[in-house]
Amino acid sequence: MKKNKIILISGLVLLSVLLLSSCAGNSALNNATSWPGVTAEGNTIYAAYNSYVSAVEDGQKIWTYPAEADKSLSFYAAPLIDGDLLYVGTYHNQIHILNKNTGALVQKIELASSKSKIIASPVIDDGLLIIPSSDGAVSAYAVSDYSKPAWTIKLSSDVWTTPLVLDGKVYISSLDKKLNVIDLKTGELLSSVQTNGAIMDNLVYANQVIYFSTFGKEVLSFDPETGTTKTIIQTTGEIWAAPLVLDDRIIAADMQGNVYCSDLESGKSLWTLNNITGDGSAIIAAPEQLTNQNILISAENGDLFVYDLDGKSVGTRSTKLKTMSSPVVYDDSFVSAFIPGDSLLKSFSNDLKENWLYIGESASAAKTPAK
Amino acid sequence: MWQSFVNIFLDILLYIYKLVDNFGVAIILFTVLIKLVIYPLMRSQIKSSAAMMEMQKSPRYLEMMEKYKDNKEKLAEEQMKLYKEMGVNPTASCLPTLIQLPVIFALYQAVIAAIVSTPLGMLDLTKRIHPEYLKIGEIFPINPSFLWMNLGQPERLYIPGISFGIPVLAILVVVTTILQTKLTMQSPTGGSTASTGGSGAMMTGMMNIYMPVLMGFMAYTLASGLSLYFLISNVFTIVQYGVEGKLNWSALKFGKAKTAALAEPAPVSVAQKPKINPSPSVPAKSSTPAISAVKEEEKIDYREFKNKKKPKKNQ
Repeated sequence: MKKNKIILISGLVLLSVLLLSSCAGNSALNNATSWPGVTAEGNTIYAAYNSYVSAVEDGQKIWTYPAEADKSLSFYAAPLIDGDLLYVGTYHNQIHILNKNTGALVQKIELASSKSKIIASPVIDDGLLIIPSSDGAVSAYAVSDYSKPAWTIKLSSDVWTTPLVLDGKVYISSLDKKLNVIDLKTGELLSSVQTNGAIMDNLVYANQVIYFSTFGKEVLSFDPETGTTKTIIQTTGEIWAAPLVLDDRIIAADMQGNVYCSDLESGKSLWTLNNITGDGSAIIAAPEQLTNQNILISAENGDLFVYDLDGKSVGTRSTKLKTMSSPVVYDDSFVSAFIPGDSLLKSFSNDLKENWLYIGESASAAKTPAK
Repeated sequence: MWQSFVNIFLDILLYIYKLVDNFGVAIILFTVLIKLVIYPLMRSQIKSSAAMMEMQKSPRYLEMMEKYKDNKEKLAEEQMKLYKEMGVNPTASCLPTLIQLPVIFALYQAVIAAIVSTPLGMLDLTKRIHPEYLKIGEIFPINPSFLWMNLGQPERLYIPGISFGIPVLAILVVVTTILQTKLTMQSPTGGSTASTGGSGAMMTGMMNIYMPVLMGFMAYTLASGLSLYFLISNVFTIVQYGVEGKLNWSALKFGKAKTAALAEPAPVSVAQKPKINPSPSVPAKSSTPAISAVKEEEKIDYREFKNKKKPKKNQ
């Protein structure tokens, strides 16, 4: 009988542990994360991922911030470069201002709610640093005084995208399918435009018009002058990636691996490529134009595709890694960031030959035995 | 395999959310749906418990307990024979509980997956739902607010003047778990407690403390969406037992003891100590077997089995 009691108690304890550990595990997964944020200036690539911000040139690390691992820090937003400074948002609602040449911390801005996250890059315009936060707050700080915000406005939902500043107005999307217009000087909400789907990526400004993709399976244009929206492309799948706007055409890629190209003026479809990955892998990274005018499409499964402006395939390369970050183009090359397997950054030439790779601090730390 | 199971839950939960446009209401409806699906099992559990209780009050069973009180192996063997003859499955009551465990795991994961707070979480969600039934563009973003709660976070109610948040939902979960445990437990003199002697009593006592503490701890620390499931699930179970007429009100020690389970004279409640019949020799005549059984039962203090002492005949 005593044996039965022991078995019973052990069983219940084990069950509870299993339940709690399962729940905690899932919760931890949920909190872990995003993909690397990457910015380039000249040949220097700045990457924010996990607990580190790194400056890399030709595959060699110039510096890493912080020098010692700090598990309380999480950087995923693409760094903003302004003069000699680098502004990097954290998943604890802070902006770390670093010296871009040395990686030394210059200043830290702590926003109100430490539970919120800075998912997208801030922007600097007209002497104001404008910071979007996942709690829906948009704050503006005078670059001469980071002690308190010049203004803060709380939007109706989370903000995951970088603000766009035009003619004294801040255009910023919130996850509740709205494009919001805020007065740059006062922080007053001027208007909100409802769309059919959440706007997941940044707004693109070209030809006096703002373009953006939505989860409502369309690419829209918004005319800041008239405040009107127009559907430019309708797609089969939801669209995460921002569109690529060229002189006369607009290119968008959806989450079913389809790529669309339409005439910018008329909206007439010029060409469409269906399921370019073959396995329906999503396209999360925004398309980029390479220096040779070709178009680079990065699929989530790590496949890289290059097309000419007529939609003809020029090259393909499989990296067997995951990439959701928009690649950055520099010189005659581009850099893609990966959810680390064997590398965080890889540089390729326009014809998809690998130039160099950078393993990343998180990956190298993982390979170093704990002291 | 497991992910597919969770994803089905996610689909159903989000589909309900799409219909009602409120995540809290969606969780409540989803919980009710789950409980309705396992209703036949619960019903058989209730019946099985009642049948077990009836059997354990029978003179034959009591005689057997007395006869083999010093031979546990033989007692177990005879008990199993009797279970078989009477068509009672002693483990049947565990099934609905076991079935609910993966449901709780899956629901928790579905709630957490639905309330995304990062791009990677969002991307994960888009891959987990079935686009044939749900369009992520239509339902995203999911509003996790319900009353004063964020269903993706542990719940606390902040009241002006009080410096800390009150875990209202966790308290309600503890209270309803205690109520459910007590109200749905068959009377120990006839129920499983008697069947296993001391270990049954110990188990009952342990469950009375262990389950509310465990559920309360989880409700306190985990996403309030799961706490809401616990609360609604507890309330539904109590209602279900009430509908079946099997609530054991006597266990609450409120007023006069009643046992709806038998709709007959009440067995001794958990809190009541079995009394020794000062004149044990002749069983009183009874118009019903149940009454007879209760009388019979009064002769024996089953705690004595636990302590391996001979039953006291007189005090």
